Parts: sequence; structure tokens; C-alpha cells
Amino acid sequence: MKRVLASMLLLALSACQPGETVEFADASIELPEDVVAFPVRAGSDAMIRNCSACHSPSMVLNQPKLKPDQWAGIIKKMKDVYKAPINRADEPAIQSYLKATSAPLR
Amino acid sequence: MCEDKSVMMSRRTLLAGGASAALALPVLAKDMVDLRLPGGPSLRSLDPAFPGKGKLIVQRVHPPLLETPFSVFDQGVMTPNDQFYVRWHYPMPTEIKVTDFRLQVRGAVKAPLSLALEEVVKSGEIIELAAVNQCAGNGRGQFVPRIPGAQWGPGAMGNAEWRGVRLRDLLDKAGLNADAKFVRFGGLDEPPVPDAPAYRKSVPIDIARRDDVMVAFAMNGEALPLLNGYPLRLVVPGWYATYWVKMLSDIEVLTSEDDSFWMAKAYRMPTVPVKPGDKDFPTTPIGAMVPRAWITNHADGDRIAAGKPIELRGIAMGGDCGIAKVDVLIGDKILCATLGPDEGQYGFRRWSLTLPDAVGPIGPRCTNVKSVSQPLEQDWNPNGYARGGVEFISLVQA
Ligand code: HEC
Repeated sequence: MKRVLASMLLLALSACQPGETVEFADASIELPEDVVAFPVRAGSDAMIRNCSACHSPSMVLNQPKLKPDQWAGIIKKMKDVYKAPINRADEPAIQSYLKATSAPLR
Repeated sequence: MCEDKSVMMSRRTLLAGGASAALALPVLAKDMVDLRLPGGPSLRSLDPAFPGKGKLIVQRVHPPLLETPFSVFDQGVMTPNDQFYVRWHYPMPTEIKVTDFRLQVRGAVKAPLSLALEEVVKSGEIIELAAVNQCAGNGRGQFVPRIPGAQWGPGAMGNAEWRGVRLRDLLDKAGLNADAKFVRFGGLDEPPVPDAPAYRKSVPIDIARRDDVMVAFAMNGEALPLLNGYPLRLVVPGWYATYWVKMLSDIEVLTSEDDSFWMAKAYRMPTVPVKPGDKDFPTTPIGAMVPRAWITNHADGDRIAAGKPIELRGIAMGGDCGIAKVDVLIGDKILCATLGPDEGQYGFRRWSLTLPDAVGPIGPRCTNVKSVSQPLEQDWNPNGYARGGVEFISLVQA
């Protein structure tokens, strides 16, 4: 992105300069790829199929330890609010994967 | 301003603050940080890097959730653009073509507008002010019991000098109808599945017409980074960032309260005290921020030399108004901190204090000019919003 204004330092010295706009230029960025995947174990295929289209696996993996009914509530929210197309046949595998994710750390 | 007086701190408060104090920092792999979230998982990576950004804590790559490492707040009261946190709900557009961009002003107005960027910046006087932009869920990961959602540590916030035109001038240019009651904002981001609720937020008309509510085009003297909402974002000083809609493209004047998902179902606070497990309590949209203060030059569990005075410094914010005082609670004492220069009522302000020793939990407490003081304990709520209790740390005498 083009930087057209005085540097921050200058700005701080000259206080605020009302009236100054920025020059708008076309801008684009390339977002990085995910580096963290669902750990491979029973159910990880179901997680990849159903839970990775809209957000990174870290959205799931960074959650605190949740009870099965809390996870069930999250899956329901994904379907009802965000219209996640979750395969009914995959749900038991998703549930048990999430349960294992929330197991006490050894 | 603040006088020394003793308070009785409950054992619970002491335990809440000092629980993890005795743990030494674990040795971390390069480019990992430990957010010390109670019960974990707590380790986060500083990788991958995002364009235009320095080292940020990667909570989620897609859509980006990037947290500012807390050490940044020790460096000054302004948060540099390349270290400013990032929070998108839905996939963000990665390209802006200036000639294609339009800001709509529509709804209950006399003459709807569709403005090119050059027209937006010429819509009124250009104003500039410092203000803290803080995610409503900042520090969600620090609550006990833990709460699902973005697992932020304390760094989902930043203070910048925002420059833009008043929202009021844009509204007046379109001409408000007499029945205008709320103003709703939308950006260019779209839900990944089309029938999911678009991210739209609204504020009452009297907030929209405030003197300091602006459509900002610059942040710390530069165009906004794309990740922070280039080319335009709403700035509502003193209110949580959920209202500061990024890549702002749509301003819609409503004649009644907004009943769409992100106002009517999400980002709401209980209006009565609630306990974990409570159901069916009344709620209201989250709005103004609460006062907060942090120690920035020491982290919980840091080792310090025994028997020597210790220098403490940190930052504070008044919430939706300026700061009256910051005092530091230590053991059964309250000590008055020295405040740094006032760089705007909505911004961060420095505080500092030298302590004779550091026995027991230490917590800075901000009181704002409306006489609102931080509570000693964290007000738990089911979505983990508006964290505002005193943040205690404990130092280990070596
Ligand atoms: C159709 C898109 C979509 C799919 C598919 C999806 N999610 Fe989500 N999910 C979302 C959105 C949108 C959010 C909110 C993101 C935000 O606030 O940044 C979210 C948030 C979450 C959260 C945070 C808690 C919360 O309530 O915000 C968790 C945990 C989560 N998703 C788990 C899952 C799991 C597990 C699956 C697979 C069963 C899944 N998601 C599939 C869209 C989706």
C-alpha cells in the first residue's frame, strides 16, 4: 500500500494536521496458508470434511476443554446460524473427536 | 487525588490473582507464546506472518484473528499499525479497487448517496483523535470458568490516532428523515455460506450523530492496513470494536431497532448479574467500554531481586471517558500511581509507580472521570465480553 503521508514521527511533532487526507491506491494482499491441521486420529477425516471450510482448525483446537453438551451446542450453532452443511452421518465421529480434544491433558 | 488507605482483600481475590504465580515460564519453542489461559490450551504461534504486519499472535489464520503481543503495550501508548490486532468474523476481501469502491448512505434518508472515496473525504471537516479499539471479547480466554469463542489473551486491543470525517456530516448530506432511529453499518466481508447472517452492526441515532464518531480513512497517519479495514472503517470512540465496522461500504438509516443476528442475538450483555449455567436472563447490546489497567513491564510469575524497590509501569484506559486516577493494590495497601500525559480521553494513558517490595498479588485499578472503578473480581458473563476486573500479577522474589 502506498504511504503518502508524513511519517508518524513528523505527525507527532506537528500535532494534528486537519484537512489532510490520504491518497487512496488500489491495494491487495495475499493471506498465508494454515500451518496447523487437525491432529490425525479417529474422526479427523470427518473434521476436515465438515469443519474446515469456513475457518482454520485452530478455531476448534484453541478452545478450552468443553463438555460434550457444549460441543453439541457449538455444532448446532454452526448449522443453525452459520448454515454449515454438516453431514449427519459424520456427526458421531465429530462428537467423539471433539470429546477427545477436550480430554484432560496428560 | 488518590490517598493511601487500607482495604481488606478477600482470600478469594488473592487466590484468583496469584494462582499461577509460582510457576516459572516454560521454555518455549521459537516463535511461540504462552498466553497462560487457565486450563489451556495456551500456546500460540507467531507464525505464519501476515503481509504488512510484524510479529502477531496467530489465533486463527482464516479468517484472520491476530493478537498483539502484550510487550507492545509497554513500548508506548500508541499501537503501531504493523502490530495492531486483527479480527474478522467472515472471510475478508483481499483486494480493494479504488475506482470500484462506493460508500452507500441509504434507508430513512431524503437523498441516498453512493460516494467514491474522494467524495467521502470531502464530505466534511477532517477530524483526528486517539482512541482505543478493543474487541468485546478481549481476554475471553482468561475467564474462569472458560467460555467458547475466540480464545484471546489480553491483546485484542490497540490505541491509534484515527482520522476521518464525521458520520454526522455524511448523514446530513443524505438528509435524515424525521423517523430515523438507528444507523446500521456493513462492510465488504461476506459470510462463507450466503444465507448466514451478514455482519451488520447498528447504533442509536444519538450515538451516530456524536461529534467524535467518524468514518476513518487513516490510522496513525497512514491509510488503514487492509487487514484493519482499508479503505474506511467506522470509529466509535469509547465503544467496543464490534461497532467499528471495517471496509465500511454501507450506512443504512433505520426507523426501528435492528433485529438482525449480530445485534439481536450476538454481542449482548446480561442486564442482571449471572452465574455460569444461568439461562433466560435479559440482555442488551454491548456498548460503551469499561475502565481497565494493566502492568506492562512485568508479567505474572516474573522473577525479581528480593528486597529491592521495583519499578512498575503500565497503561490504563477510562472506557468511555477519561481517567481520574490509577491506584495500585498490593497486599492490604492501595498506592497512588503517577499518570503520564493525557493524549486524549479515549486513548491509553501511561501510569507508573515504584514499590518498596512486591509481596503478594499486585493489581492496578483505574477509576474513570465518571467515578467508575474497576471491580476486584472479574464479572463473568456467558460470552466473555467486557472483561474489566483488576488484573493482578504476582512477582517471584529470587
Ligand atoms: C458454514 C461455515 C462454518 C462451518 C462449516 C463451521 N463453522 Fe464453526 N464458525 C463459523 C463462524 C462464522 C464462526 C464465528 C467466527 C467468528 O466469530 O470469528 C464459527 C465459530 C466456531 C467456534 C467458536 C465458538 C463460537 O461460537 O463462535 C467453534 C468452536 C467452531 N466454530 C467449531 C466448528 C466445528 C467443530 C465445525 C464442524 C462441525 C465448524 N465450526 C464448522 C462458521 C462455520
